[in-house]
Amino acid sequence: MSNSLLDVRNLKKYFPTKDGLLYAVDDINFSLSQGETLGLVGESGCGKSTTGRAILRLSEPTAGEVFYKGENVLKCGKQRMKELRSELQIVFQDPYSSLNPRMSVCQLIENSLAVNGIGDSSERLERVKEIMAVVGLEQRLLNSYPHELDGGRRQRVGIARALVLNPSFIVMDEPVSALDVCIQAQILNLLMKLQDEKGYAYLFISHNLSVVKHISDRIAVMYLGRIVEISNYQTLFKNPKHPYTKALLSAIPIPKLGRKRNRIVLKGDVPSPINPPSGCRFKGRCPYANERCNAEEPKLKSCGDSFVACHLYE
Amino acid sequence: MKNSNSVFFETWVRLKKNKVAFASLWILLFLIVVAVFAGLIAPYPYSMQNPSNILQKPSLKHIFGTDQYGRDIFSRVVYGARISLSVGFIAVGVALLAGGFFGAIAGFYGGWLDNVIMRCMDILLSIPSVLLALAIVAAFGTSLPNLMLATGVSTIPGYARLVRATILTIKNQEYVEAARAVGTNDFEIITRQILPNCMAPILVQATFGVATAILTIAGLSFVGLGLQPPIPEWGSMLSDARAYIRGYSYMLVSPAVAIAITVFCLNSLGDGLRDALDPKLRD
Amino acid sequence: MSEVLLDIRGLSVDYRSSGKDIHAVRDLSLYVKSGETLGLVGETGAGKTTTALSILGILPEVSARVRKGEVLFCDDDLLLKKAKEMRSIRGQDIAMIFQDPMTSLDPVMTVGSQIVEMIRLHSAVSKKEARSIAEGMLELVGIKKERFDDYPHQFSGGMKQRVGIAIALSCNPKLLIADEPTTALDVTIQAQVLELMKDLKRKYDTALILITHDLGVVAEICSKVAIMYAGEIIEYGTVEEVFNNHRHPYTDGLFNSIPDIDSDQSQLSVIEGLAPDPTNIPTGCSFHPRCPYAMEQCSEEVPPVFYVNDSHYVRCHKCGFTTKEAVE
Repeated sequence: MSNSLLDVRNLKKYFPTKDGLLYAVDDINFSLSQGETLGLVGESGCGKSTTGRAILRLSEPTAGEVFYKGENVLKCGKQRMKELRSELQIVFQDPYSSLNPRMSVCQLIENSLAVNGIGDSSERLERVKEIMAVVGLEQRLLNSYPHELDGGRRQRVGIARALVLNPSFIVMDEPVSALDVCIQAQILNLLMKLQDEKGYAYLFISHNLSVVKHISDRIAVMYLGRIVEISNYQTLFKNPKHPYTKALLSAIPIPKLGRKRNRIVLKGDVPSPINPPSGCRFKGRCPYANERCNAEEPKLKSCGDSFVACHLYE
Repeated sequence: MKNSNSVFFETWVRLKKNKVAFASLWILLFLIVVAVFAGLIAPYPYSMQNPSNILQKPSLKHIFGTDQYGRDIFSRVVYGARISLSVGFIAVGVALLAGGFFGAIAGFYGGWLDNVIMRCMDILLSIPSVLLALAIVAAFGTSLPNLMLATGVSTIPGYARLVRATILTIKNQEYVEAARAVGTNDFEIITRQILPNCMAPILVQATFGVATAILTIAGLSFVGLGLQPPIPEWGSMLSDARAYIRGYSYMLVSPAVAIAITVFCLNSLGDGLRDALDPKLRD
Repeated sequence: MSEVLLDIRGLSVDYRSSGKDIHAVRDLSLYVKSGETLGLVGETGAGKTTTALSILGILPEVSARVRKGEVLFCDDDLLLKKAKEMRSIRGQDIAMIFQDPMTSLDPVMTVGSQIVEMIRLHSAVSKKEARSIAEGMLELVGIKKERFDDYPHQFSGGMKQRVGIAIALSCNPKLLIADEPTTALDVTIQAQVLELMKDLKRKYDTALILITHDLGVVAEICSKVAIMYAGEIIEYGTVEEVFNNHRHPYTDGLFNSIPDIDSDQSQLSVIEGLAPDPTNIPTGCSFHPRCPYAMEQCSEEVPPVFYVNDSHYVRCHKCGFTTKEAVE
């Protein structure tokens, strides 16, 4: 079982609000092997970003376990956690707010090393230059500031900052969503190339299904804090099972003409994650909902080569 | 922080465009030079009395005239610059450090610590500042350090609130989270990530603060609770000049103009800095 | 049936910033017939929003300047109109839906009153009548009329955008400009809003200029598409022509950069480099530094408009076709 690099079990993160408990992440389970990419998709409010942050303890989980190379990350002391941070990294979505505007490119990347006491200043500078070359940043930008760079380059700085520590697992929190399509393609190619060369494991969080399909080996679909379907990328697109997955896939506008779309337009809006409905959380919008969905919550069960949480597949 | 190279330069360029603020900056620098080199600039020691030369109108020998003890007013104004500016800067500096420290902790850690600190600040704020200054001076005497304390103490809550508010805004920025994700500890996050980005509003407030401090101490000296004679504080010079207002009004003019120019320049510079530092006010 | 509703001719718009001139829109020409849907596609900084704002005359006064050109709406040049005349046109004849539903509605007015405000600005109806029209609009966009007195913050993003659509359509404008109306919305909500827009378009026969960077959305809803790059339209034609028979290397690159949901690819083909700095646009063809087919001519001469056929043109030296007369 534990050939996997990362094993997430029963991960929960709840936020207390004045209207009740907000179930942002509610019992998430998955594992990830070295060199693998797990795509995590869902719409706003489904909890995918919170999941990424909870795994890294940037937002302390309410319950659950996260096993990294067999060690439970959530139970580590401060010192051990600091050591682990070099191996568990994150690339943020917004290249405009994830870089300190007062630090130069060199300082931003070097900071990761300095904070962990790695090398002396000349060794660190060498390492910074190395990693800049790896992510495709020109050396002349060493002393540039974020506001002088475009979105694509800033995102490369964000990636360099994460990779300079030589991590094994990287959470990619919507890393290309804020970028134009052409730059997006450049960054995706970079990420895939680096994964091939260095064997990084990615948790790729995104709401853009075409992008996720392109880069992921397996994909997990989230809805209101729960995973409703996990399968490998080909199966998910060729043979989606959960009604939400089907609706999601049918909603994607495809840049091709003459496609006959049986578009499933869901009724209503995503319900609030505060005090979620009993039974299946998707029942309010599901075209196939019945009595059982009202009463009983479906569990994630194996179905063919996927896992689905839906009464239709039991 | 060397980091702010390019931001500093940009700010400088924008400040230059505001002619009044830029001129004020130079006037203030001039005043600081005067204050520092008072000993070389003033032709006479400020306390040198000359009974045969009392109440002389401005002349070539005494540019601003002499006061009721025959002391050269010009020299007294020059030394007075040293007093006023140093009290102003030190009072603000101390208030900024104290207020900033408490504000940073309150903003960063939140929770009960935030509550306790800010309620203490509220209490301090509820005491009228002039009264507080008077009370401190009356209780502890009128030495220079006490006066700096008196003028500074009531401004501490202002800086605490400012720093706390800026920290609250910035601590949730993604780049702070990013710093955390690579293992940066709290102290480094506050000092290297957050505070440099708070500098702008603090600088502006501090500039106005110096102006206020100068006026406060002038006010205290005017009512006799400031520095004692023969120390040439502008406010006490004004107070002395009151009795001689008929016939010897020149005694009033020089310290009054000195205060006015200094305060005006500080305020204009503060305004100019606020505009130059605000990224939203781009053309 | 279709007359030309909007005819933009040679529009050039500059912004002035820190002493430099930003050429946001350069010699742009396009036309929209009544009932037609034109997609205006391009990346950030290509000039799409500036074009839209120029049509409505709501460019930022201090920094923007229309250097030349004509914006003919029903044969009337909008750029020559006085402020009062433009105010009457906005909302009534030409309406706009903005990108971010979170900030484009007034947070201190109820949604119903915002629709009423629009109605009463352009027609002399009583408050009661206006209210009933507004309620009708809400129902039309799929919001229960009981929510007339709710405030924007009580609605989700998708519903706010529907309110925006209701406001825009309340006076039955001839032309609707939608600036990335679904970009900020989730995919399933986007699907709902797009279906709604298609429906309403059919019902009211409104012409639509849809600004977007998403070619998928264009395929869904547009009949014509214009591809913008560095302030110019570099390819223009019917959706069939542009999607299946595009000529400009940039358009080609754009289509290839999008991950294809139908196939497995290892690497995406990429356009090297970045969009040009708008204060320093390359000489000749603005795309030449990044173009895999660039010839010497491309850096020296601005490419003229080449007609592939009478509904499809391209600005590219490589695509040398016999120039045909413009139809309109």
